[in-house]
Amino acid sequence: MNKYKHHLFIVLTIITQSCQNTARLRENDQSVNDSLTLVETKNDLRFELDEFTGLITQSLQYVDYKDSSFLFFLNRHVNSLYSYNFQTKKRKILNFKKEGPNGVGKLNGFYFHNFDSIFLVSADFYKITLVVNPYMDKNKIFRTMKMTPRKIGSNSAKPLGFTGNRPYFIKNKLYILGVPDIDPTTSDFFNKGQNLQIMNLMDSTKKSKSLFTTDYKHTWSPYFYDYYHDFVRPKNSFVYSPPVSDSVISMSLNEDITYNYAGSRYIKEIQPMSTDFSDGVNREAHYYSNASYFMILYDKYNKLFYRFIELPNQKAIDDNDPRKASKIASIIILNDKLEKVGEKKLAPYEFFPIMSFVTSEGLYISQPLLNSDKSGVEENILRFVLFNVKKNE
Amino acid sequence: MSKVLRFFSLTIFYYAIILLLSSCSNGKQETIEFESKYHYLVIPVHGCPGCIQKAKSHAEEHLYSERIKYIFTDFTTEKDVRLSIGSQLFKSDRIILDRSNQLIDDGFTSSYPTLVFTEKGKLKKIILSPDVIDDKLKKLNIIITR
Repeated sequence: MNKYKHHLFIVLTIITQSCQNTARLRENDQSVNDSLTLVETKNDLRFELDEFTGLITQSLQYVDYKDSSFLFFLNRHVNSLYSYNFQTKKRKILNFKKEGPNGVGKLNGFYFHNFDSIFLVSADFYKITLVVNPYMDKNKIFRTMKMTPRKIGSNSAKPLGFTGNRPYFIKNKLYILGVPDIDPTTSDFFNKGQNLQIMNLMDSTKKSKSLFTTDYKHTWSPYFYDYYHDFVRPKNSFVYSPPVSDSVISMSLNEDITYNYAGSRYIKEIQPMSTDFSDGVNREAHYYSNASYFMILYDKYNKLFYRFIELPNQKAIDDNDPRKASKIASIIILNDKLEKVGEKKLAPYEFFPIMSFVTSEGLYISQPLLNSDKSGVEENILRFVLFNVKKNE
Repeated sequence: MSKVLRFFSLTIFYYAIILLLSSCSNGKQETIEFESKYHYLVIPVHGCPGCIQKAKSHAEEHLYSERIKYIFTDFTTEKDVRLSIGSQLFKSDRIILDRSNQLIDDGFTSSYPTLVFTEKGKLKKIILSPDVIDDKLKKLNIIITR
């Protein structure tokens, strides 16, 4: 895929108790195996965008399917799902109505299960829609699932559907991460909040779970509520990345839970919010000044995990540089046993790490292309740069 | 409070990417100056999505008001702005694009819209965070439609 230019695309358990002592774990970081790193290559993927598509999507998914591979990309501006076939170099677009009998709401995420079944997420509408045979039968809507009622104080949660926290459909059950509708400044958020919903589509039963670690007894600005996960097919288990915890959580389909240390070497502590939560400026400052873990991706080709963290841009904060909002990404590498084996910090201001995916070639991370006079970025070229795992010298 | 949560749960992605190129700004940008006869709504395109949606709706409803202008800032490309606010709004002379992110450099927040107006000869700024945006926009409506 070296220097490809693809025309037309887009145009493309409850851990009720966090038993581990965080401080102790950080001390252990000194002895963590640091044998691997990620190296930026000169290879990239480029997609020419259409007039309806911007450089940023909240939700994309790379899929190996039979002998082909695809990249799916949600275009929220037009409520459409784009797909690109790497072998045929053809793209397809599925357009969805927001309202009406077949309305799916304003989309902010999706999960491609197979070509027969695609799940669409509309967080604002608390709605997940299963679309059946979308490429055969024009947008036949099979089933619409409404989340639990939005009554405050119940176990309802606003569903997530981004690249790193999309729903997964595994053995007839849909696993949906969400953000509980509970005041986060109260103890109820931790004690009663359920951020994982498991819906059995065969018998229409549903259950909720909390995966919040004990860190959530404290108050955090809202940027820290969104959990991330990936499904590890060889092990039939999920792995979760809590934004404020050094640990990652592994959950089997029997819902047995274990957790492992997977912290960044670049942080000492993620501090809860101590200022007035009701002030938006305080919430923003709390986010800027603290690290936060986000996406975790399983690399089935190398049997590794990549856990992403945003680090505070301390120099920009100290200098009151407006770019203080651009936190710096670092990627923690974990082996198949979820043991930390390396970490790579990315250059600041260059990447959109939330737009990343894994292929047999390595980890692709979005990096906009500068235009010819370097006065800005090419607004019609979506670009991903390839990173490969290498042994540390 | 649940409203606050809903506003914010979609926000995090934008923070990782904003201001990517503020150091690459071009030199063609005219300086943005605030005139006392207008109220201004400064809208960071990659800020809090719920707030941006409200500010955008406000712009659509008051596009022909002669007492307010809308300044879009903190965007990666002009295409981002056009796709976010729609072509009609994008073309309006009520819309100002802060192409060099000058206002962010000047200290405006990249998270929420900011209302700017002149009072007793001094420029005043009010940050419209999710807690206050509804109330402030209602009051703004009264002022600009008087």
